[in-house]
Amino acid sequence: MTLDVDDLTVTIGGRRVVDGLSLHLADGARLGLIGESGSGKSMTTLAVLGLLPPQAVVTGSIRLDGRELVGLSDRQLAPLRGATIAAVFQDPRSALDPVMTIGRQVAEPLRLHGRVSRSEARRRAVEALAEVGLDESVAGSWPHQLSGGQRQRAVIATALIARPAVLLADEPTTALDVTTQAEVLELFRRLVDERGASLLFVTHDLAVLAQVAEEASVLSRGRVVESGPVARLLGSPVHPVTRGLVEATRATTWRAP
Amino acid sequence: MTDLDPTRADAPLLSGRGLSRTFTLPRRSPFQPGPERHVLVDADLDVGRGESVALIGESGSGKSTLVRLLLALDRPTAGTVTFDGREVRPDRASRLRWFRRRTGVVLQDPYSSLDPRMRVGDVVAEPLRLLHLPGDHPGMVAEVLERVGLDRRDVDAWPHELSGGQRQRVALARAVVHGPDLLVGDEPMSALDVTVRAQVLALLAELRDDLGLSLLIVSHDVGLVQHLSDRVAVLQGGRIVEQGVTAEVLARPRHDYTRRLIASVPTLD
Repeated sequence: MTLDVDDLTVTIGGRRVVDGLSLHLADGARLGLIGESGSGKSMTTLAVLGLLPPQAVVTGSIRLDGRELVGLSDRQLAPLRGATIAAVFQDPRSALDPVMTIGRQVAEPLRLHGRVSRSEARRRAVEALAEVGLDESVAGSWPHQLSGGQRQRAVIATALIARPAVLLADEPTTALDVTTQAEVLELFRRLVDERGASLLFVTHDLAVLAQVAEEASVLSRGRVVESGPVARLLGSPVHPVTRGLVEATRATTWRAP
Repeated sequence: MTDLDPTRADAPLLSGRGLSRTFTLPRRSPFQPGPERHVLVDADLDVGRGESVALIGESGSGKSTLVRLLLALDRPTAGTVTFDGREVRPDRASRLRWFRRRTGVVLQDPYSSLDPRMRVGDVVAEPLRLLHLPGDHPGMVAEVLERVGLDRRDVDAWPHELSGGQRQRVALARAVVHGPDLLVGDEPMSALDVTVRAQVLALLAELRDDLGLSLLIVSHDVGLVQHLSDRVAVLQGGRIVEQGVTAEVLARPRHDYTRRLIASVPTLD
């Protein structure tokens, strides 16, 4: 499935947080969205999901396989969320309901969207957990009993259980330890490839971006300032913002000796 | 008295020996003591004069516990801490004032570490007041603000008026305003954007070189450790599993966990 954003503008309280942003996520592609805090990357993901605060004013167009999403009501968007388009956010602690077992949360998109029996939902939840490397016993656990990495795996299992065609990931590894991050990034690559889903991966970290995305758009002040293959952006950045990001990353990031 | 001669240049500035910290968890049965959790076991760590040492490890590895013990913010179950040859004990604040005057601390999150109801000038001047230091406080504050790349007129600003990078500069100014010998940073950059990170990294190196500061940096960021520290200690499960010269440890990690850690770090290449 393709996702096309054209001239998107989001204004909140008179402030333009997204300012004429356009991007194209091809079917089965892995597109990165990179920028620093305040560049508008999270607002863009929220706009795609229709989850902006109520006072936000949105203009422009967001099309999912040609179907316009801007202007749809919550009621019209609800059947898409979690089924056609799913999201994984930064903090797995706040993404999980503390009073629901992991198995029930993972199965929730199925119960909300499809008519599946309780036993069928349970079977598929265990299957989804296995796919992200979690044991069947985790289904009966509560969120507080899991480590940060296990929680984020559970969130990914929840996002993928209904086999969405488009997956949005907003800084999904920022809260994780580096060894866990490497495992979760590998998981993203593998699952997206196996499913043929399209991935929009939002991050502030060029080194992380280089691990998951083939193409990327660089955001600054709510607009895309440069786009292209990740290798090209890293090797010969053109826009000053991209150059600043690459230089700063080289100055602070681990370099193999 | 200790047999360390405090004027000896090769004696470490800060030294932890055999540091352990055990927590007793709530008892599960009225007839048995609660189970014990060993969050730090027998850690030895030195920071030399003018040296930068990094502690690296994942969440729960014990690195923050070790730093709390080294800063006398917590009492070790076993082991001792000495600073410049003098033993440091968690004690009444007034008896640790000498130690606080010679150390400065900067924490991870510049959003929560600055009191939102205090102007920048008061935030930075607070250690001078609390440590009963003599001198021209406003003058010292203005000077340190310029040193960290802020404007002396920023004394009147409120924390919420500043960007994340400016706030971390304020936190750094506050940590060094009283002229400490040792600066301790607990994940000092992990809340910052990458361009700000590069600036703060350069500033830390500059402060170290200009002021002759010793640095103790706690981080899970291998990149920061590589760029800033002379020596590194790797913690896992409450133990220091490997320590040595940074370039050597990172190029030829001996412990399995260090190897795994380094292999996991994303790179641009």
